Amino acid sequence: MAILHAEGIEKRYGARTVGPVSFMLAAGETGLVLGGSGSGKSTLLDLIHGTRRASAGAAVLHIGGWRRDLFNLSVPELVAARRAAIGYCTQFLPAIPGRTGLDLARQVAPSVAAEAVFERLALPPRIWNLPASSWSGGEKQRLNLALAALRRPPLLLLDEPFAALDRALHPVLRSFLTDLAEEGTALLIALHHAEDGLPAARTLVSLNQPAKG
Amino acid sequence: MLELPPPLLTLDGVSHGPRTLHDASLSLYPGEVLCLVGKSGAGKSTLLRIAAGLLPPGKGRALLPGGVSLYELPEQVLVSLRRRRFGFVAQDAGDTLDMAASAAANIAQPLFDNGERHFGRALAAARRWFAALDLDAARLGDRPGVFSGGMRQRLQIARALVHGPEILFLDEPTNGLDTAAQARLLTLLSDLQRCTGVAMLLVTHDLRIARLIAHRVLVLEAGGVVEEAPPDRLIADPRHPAARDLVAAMI
Repeated sequence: MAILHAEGIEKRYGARTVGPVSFMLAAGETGLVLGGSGSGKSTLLDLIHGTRRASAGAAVLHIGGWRRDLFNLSVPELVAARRAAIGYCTQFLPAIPGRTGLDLARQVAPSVAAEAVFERLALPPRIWNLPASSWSGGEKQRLNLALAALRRPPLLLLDEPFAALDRALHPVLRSFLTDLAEEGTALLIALHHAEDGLPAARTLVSLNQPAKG
Repeated sequence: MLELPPPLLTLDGVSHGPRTLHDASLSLYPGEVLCLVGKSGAGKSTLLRIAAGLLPPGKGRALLPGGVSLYELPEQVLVSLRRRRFGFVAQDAGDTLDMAASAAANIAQPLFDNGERHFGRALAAARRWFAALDLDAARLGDRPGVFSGGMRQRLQIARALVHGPEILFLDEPTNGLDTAAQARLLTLLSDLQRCTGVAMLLVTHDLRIARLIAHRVLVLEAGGVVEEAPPDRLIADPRHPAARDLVAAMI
């Protein structure tokens, strides 16, 4: 059963167009959105998350008995759906200045042992209690992923999760994501190169040329 | 979990004065942080005061669950409901704090207003909230006038939360604070929100604050709500010119 059903999603900015894009993603499945810089990968994730408004199409989220087009929700409904069901790991860490990584994790999921997740992502314990704003780019990216994963959303959107990481850390991230998928999370990952993807991943969308009209 | 619960408070087409506020509506849901953003004079504080039961609107209604209309209640009932279910943090601490009373007495006052008769219990609660707001227990006996601006705001927040309200109203709570004190206050607010589950209606002119703490943002312009969005969408994809101006002002 599809957890996310995208039907003809399209975004037009003046003369530029991303899409139309259609696909299905099931629970526990990993789907890839491939494309070069400027092809509209991040835009597509933004549309599904509701960070941007789509010009056309539908993104139907189906969880339990709940089945709604995310593009047709009121803002309060979208906020509720996001809080309950959708994680979004962008390339930016939206954190209140001065908060430590562990603070942020406890804030997101007070009842889950964040330490274990930090360890699985190879975040060194000496930085856990330092302000997240002082962490390196690759550390922030893993923190961002930890924060998104700690909430255990049924659908997790990931924008270039490998981008700020050196090669040595790629296997760490790959096994972390594989575990999430095996636990039932549906992953939708925007990537530059398919080879960064996971073994079980399926390419759902190829946005090969830069978006144009 | 995906279904929306009924709102805690709904403003239905409220207007005030000839130009201040015109046909503005909003709903506040349990456990959410809703930010009202807009330029000075957009009507944010007026809308907040109407929502908080402090200012009757010229037109329109403020509704509680069950269809109770706030301003159609007898004055005494309104006052007691406000004391029990709401907390208010003003831009100027002098508006809510008694500058002649000690910090402890200030925090404990809402408990006495709600019928507490046991002085020791009230003092213990004041002490707990003092600690929760990172205030030094040694200063419980000091008057608010000798506190710093950031500490006075924290004192106001303690006073506004001590009786366990459903809704906390905040009018530009970080105004006049330096960046470090602002960050500290936002950290505390978001922690307290999460721990207590209190819904917050927060007025700010600064979209950066809304981005850090809000679940949902309403943009006000010339006394009306012109845009509603989650903060990320408002910043990435603002529609109304007033929203675009606010985004431009972030940089």
